[in-house]
Amino acid sequence: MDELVQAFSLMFTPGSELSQIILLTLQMAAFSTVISTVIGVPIGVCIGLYRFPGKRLVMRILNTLMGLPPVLAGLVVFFILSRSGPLGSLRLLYTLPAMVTAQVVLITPIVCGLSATAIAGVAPRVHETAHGMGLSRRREVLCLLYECRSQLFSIMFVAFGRSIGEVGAVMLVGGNVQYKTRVMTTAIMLETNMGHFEYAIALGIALLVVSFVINSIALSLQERTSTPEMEGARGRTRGGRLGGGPR
Amino acid sequence: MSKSFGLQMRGLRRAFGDRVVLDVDGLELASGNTYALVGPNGCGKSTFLKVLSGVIDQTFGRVDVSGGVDRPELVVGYMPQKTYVFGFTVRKNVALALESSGLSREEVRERVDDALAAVGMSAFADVRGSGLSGGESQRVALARMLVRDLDVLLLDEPTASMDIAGTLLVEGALARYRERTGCLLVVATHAPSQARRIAPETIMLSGGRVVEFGPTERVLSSPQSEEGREFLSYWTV
Repeated sequence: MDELVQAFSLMFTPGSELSQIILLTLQMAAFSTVISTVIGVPIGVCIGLYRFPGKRLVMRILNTLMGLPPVLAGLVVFFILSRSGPLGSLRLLYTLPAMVTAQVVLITPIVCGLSATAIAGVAPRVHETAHGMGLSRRREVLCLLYECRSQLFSIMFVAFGRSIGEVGAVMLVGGNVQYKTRVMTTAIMLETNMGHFEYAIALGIALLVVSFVINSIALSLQERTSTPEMEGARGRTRGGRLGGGPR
Repeated sequence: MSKSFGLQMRGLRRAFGDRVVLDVDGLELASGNTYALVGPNGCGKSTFLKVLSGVIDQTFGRVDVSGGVDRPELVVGYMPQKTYVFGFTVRKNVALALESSGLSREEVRERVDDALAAVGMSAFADVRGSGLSGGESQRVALARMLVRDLDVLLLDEPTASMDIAGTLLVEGALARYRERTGCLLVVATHAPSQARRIAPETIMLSGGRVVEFGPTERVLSSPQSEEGREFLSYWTV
């Protein structure tokens, strides 16, 4: 219990190692979620919306990549960014960008696959409706995105959750360097290896609390955009509207 | 009034894989008329309307337009059986149909108000589409059609989720719209009474083919084909 109290007090102490770890964790998760969304959603929308030869194969590959082992993703990025790798000259290994890159490799197929599934579920009905209304293709796609906004928002949560809780890939390409690339999951690993189990558990709980707070804020924003308005007005007008019969 | 024209279907076929679901030849429809489209489930009513509207392409055949009008000139509106009302407000849903009309904001607003009033949905103008019942959604979908000046209006069971008061209200609105625009109106329906009320002529499909076509009273009272007699034997006409 003391360890937990200590962990929480450190969380709110500016300049402490723990607050720095939390900040870096949030940065990494936020960057990788945004980049994965920017890449994955448009590709997912295209896959969900259009028919093309090899679509099934693409979906199978995506579904396979959704289960990509984090260590494998980390290993690939490690080889690419290592000194002898194709991007070794950038000297990104053991930096935040390297960790974000590994996360993007892991998360983008998830964002892409889930977006494609969400879009494909609504697209036929929206297409029929939009065509019948004489809407342009551009407007149809915008309407489709609007209709799927809740699902797309949820997909971002999934991506963020996957990113914030990831350990294998970030350990490989980040190296768990103190004050530089140490994030909450790698810190938990380190504390566990050192035998500081209570502190590791406290860190884990702190990670969950941070994730809970961010998800709560995001969910309340999502609910604000998707709640049907004027329910009261419906109730008030319904009775009298049909009472007079056809007009 | 919109242009005067006729639609002729020449060897119109639509197949899904090996299954032919529509096979219509020689059917002619004229602008200014209302046609009821009847037939058992799976007879091809929805496919017929989708092919005419261009939502799906025919596998073979063509639709010719007579009266000195080219097909691309025709403005076609189609309301699917499973209507979809977008999540934004009812007013915006209807106004969206006028996005490329070139009308001013005031004109759009006026037209939207008129269309909503015609289907009895004025009080719902600021309600979000996601908060509507099935019948209300159908009325909004219909308002999205009536707000435009269409040459061809194709409706797939437009009153299936409505109560009788709503149905009569919508039928009146459709009659006034056809009167005003002179459009060609095709309404798929499962209600014989509705076919009698709204359409002087009826098309009956069975197995994707037209088995009856002519004055509604004649088609519903004394069908000429075996398929027509069998289908109508289940109707209380």
